[in-house]
Amino acid sequence: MTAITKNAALILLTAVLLAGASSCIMEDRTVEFVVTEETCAPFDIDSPFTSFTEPAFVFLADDLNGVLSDNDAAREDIVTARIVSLSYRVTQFSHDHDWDITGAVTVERQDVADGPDTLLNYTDQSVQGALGVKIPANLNEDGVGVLNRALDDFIAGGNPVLIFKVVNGGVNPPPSVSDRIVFQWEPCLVTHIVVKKDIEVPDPF
Amino acid sequence: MPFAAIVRRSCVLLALLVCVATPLSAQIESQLSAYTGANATGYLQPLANAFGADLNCGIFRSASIPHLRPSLRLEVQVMSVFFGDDDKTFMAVTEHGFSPEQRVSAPTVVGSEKAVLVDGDGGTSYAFPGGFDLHSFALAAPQLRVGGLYGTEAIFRFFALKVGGGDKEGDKDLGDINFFGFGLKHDISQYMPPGIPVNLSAGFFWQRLSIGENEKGGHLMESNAFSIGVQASKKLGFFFVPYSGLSYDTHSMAVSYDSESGGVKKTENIDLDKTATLHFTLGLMLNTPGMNIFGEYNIASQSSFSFGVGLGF
Repeated sequence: MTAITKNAALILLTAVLLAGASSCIMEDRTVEFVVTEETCAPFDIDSPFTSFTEPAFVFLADDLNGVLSDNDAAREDIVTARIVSLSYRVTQFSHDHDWDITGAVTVERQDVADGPDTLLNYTDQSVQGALGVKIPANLNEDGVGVLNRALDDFIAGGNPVLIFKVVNGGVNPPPSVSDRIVFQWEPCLVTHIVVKKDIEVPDPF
Repeated sequence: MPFAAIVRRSCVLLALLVCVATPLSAQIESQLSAYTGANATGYLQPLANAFGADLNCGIFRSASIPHLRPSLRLEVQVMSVFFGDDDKTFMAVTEHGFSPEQRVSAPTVVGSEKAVLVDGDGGTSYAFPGGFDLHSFALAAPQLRVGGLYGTEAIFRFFALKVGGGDKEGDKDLGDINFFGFGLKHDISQYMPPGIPVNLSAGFFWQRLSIGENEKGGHLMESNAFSIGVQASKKLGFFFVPYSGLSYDTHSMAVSYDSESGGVKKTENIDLDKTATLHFTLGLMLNTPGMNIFGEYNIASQSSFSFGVGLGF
């Protein structure tokens, strides 16, 4: 056998081995990804009174379906979804003086009987001081429970609708008809959605 | 299967191994989007270390270099590392305003596929993403040796490929993969007193691998590796050439990805920890006229192995 023939045979053998090995390089994995979603609910406050209540509706299924679609995932791929944190900030305020407000944000379900429960409390919060600044909130376990049950219902195929309410009990100095308290603010909720995905990864040895 | 089809499939396989990072790249970016800063570095570091170890092996073999005979050899080799338990986890810190802040042992990119959850204040929870459960990480590289002039040999590695994201809607086009390496090796035993029982050489090798392009014109991933060292070998019988080497290797890697931390999408640029390590090689080459086959094991901060085949003269 000439050297060229021997070399050709070895090349062929090497190529066959490489070709045969190609199916062994890729391995199947089911990986748990974490999708971070921040949902904000805007409130418009315009009141001459110390006590006021303002609702905001959040259609949770629409928001989460959009997030899943952006990440090439479906509802049945969700392993778990949980509330991570909440912050709030004033997004619009223009007045010749500041106000300090005291109250709470509650949450309840519109689609089923759950809540209202307090999500967070704020005490002597400066409206001017919260303008453009994200302030972390100390969350109340009962309110977080309403949210987590809504997330569980979504995973199970439901269509939860949340009602957030600002229940303000105190304003200093007190507003009046001629000096109304006017501002926009929003609490923003961070949620972690754990999604499983079947993928192929290279793991040849 | 026709031979031409085998060759085509083999070339595809080699291309697959060379750009083994790229099918992972799109998936890794999804995982990284939940991480920033120190967490992203800890998550990716084992893969970066493996990259460096793979790039810096399989370069130098026989220390014997012709002095006045031209030599040309085209080689293909596979370089790989095995991951240990230490590579599977890192100490991650909770982010996104989670309270209380906690440090948790979480999977790295090569660790468990399962996410890790921790509980916080007020019924909140935080999730750390899973990894890809990799046991090994392999690269393949074509390599060209040109030499024979006064005991000096030049070594080149080169590969370029444009990678699409696949047929699925929304798959990312990862862009260009560019891989280039250059080095020189010189026979130093010619300067030694006669009677030395082995061939000795010294050499260096520099490599750069870049993948894709981000919106700011930089690369999605860029890796630089450098190795400098000495080699010894001895021909036994007609075909067998055991060889050994001692080198100093460095490697650095930078990654760019989109993060959605805090609900705001932004581009994160992270420079992974630069590695520098001594590297000891033990190998055996089977050298026949026109072809050689080799296998070697490398002991360094990340141990690796390599094998391949070369054709030429």
